[in-house]
Amino acid sequence: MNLGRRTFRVFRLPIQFVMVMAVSAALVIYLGAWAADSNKESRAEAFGAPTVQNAGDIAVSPPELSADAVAWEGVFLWVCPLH
Amino acid sequence: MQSEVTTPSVNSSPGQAPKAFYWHYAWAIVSIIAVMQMVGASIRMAFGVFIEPLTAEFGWSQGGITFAYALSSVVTAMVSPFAGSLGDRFGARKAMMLGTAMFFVGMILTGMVTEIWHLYLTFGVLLGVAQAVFLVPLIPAAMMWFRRNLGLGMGVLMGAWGVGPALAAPLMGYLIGRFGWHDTFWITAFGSVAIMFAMIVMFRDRPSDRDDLPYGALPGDPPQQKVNADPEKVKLFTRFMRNTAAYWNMSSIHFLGCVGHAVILVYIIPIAVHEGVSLILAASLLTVMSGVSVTTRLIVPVMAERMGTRSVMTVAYLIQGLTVILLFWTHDATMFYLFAIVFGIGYGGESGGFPILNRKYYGLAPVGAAHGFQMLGAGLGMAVGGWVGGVVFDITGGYGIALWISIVTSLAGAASIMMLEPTHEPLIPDWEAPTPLLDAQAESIAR
Repeated sequence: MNLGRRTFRVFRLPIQFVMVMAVSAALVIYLGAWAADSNKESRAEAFGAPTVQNAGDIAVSPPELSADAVAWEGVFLWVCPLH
Repeated sequence: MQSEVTTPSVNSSPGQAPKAFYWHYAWAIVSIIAVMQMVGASIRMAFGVFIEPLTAEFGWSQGGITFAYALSSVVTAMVSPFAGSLGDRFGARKAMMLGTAMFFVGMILTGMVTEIWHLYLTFGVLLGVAQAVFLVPLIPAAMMWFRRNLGLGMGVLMGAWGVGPALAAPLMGYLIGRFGWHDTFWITAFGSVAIMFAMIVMFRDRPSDRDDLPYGALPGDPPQQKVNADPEKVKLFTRFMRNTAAYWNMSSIHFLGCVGHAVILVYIIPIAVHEGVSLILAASLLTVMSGVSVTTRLIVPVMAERMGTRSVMTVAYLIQGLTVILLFWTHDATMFYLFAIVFGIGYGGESGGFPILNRKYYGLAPVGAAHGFQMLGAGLGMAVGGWVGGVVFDITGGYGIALWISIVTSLAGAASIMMLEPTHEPLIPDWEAPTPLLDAQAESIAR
């Protein structure tokens, strides 16, 4: 039995697993935020107005922009430190 | 990589070489599981044929409808570890009964949806959970029937898994054309459940349920223990497995492999069309990939068992990753077909080694929890790979970055496999060891 083998661990998880999950999560967040940023810019070009809402700023959103679209974009932009 | 040797036959005496193939009820079990997989997973595999009828009747967007598919995949992935433990704890047969009942209710309700959130709830959540409950315990259950020559059994199962998509889509398309989408869900519900019920009646969790020995058993092998006879022992062994690095790393390796091929499976048609290949020819690329993958799904587990699991899996991941580089210089139909053939070899071989690794690392212990955790990695990988290509295209107007992500993830998977523990000895105590010996081993791990 291979019980003697020891692996370097972070928070009791193998470093290999932690690295794969951390890099993948970072990539998903970066790409999601990039897509959100891109959507935001294209809408601003189309309507000439900012589209991700600030508090009390609901009226500036174009009418066809769904609340769900703004929500996921807002979450990605909030989480990503690079966007 | 350290050298690997095939696991020696436990308790086999010199001169007692087990036959490679002979008739045994294990083959009936493999056939039952293959049919369960094909029937139970067909509706998700053929989901694409429902998009147009649902759009036509309700005016829902394609993105809104395919979100139900994505939700179903993610729910199945998230529930997989629990489904695996359910199979370990209560036996695969009971899990199959529960999953089949949920599948029936989910299918009937999906045929009655009138709002898109109904579709998310019935197809996305209910059928997602049902698929995990009856599909995840199947592979660990099949493993119980093979003491030796597991690669052969797994090869047949993996090969059958590739046949499902080829049969399901045309059948569903025919039913929709003849009866409409509502009735297709109901007909499929009744038809599938009738077949699944017949399969469950013939299914047995383990050879001892019909006074039989596992395939490849030799005189002198210890009697097989009932998996769910001692819940405390199952819990203890699940804890042993979770303490191994391989338990976690196999899941992340499956994740990487699935990201690598999901990008290609989802976007090869638009990529080919973008290069000027006709839609019909582009669609046939998937058929070529699936056809080639059936062959390698069959062969890879056998090779993995005999030639070294890590080496064979590494080669499959390398083929899957390096072939994608070809796409940067692929501009005509012939080259796309060549790509589809070579990629199909790697894609088909990606998953076949995992059951063999489970056996080599964990011996004859119930591996439902470990397999379920690997399915979680695979499901998330398919979801991320399917999502990433669309996002990249929306941002850049091309698939270049997505292809690089596919290449890098497959190659990272190959590197991770090479870093796995050697397979020449198990990583946990012997499941069949007497209890006092087991206690001593548990104490040594705790120290």
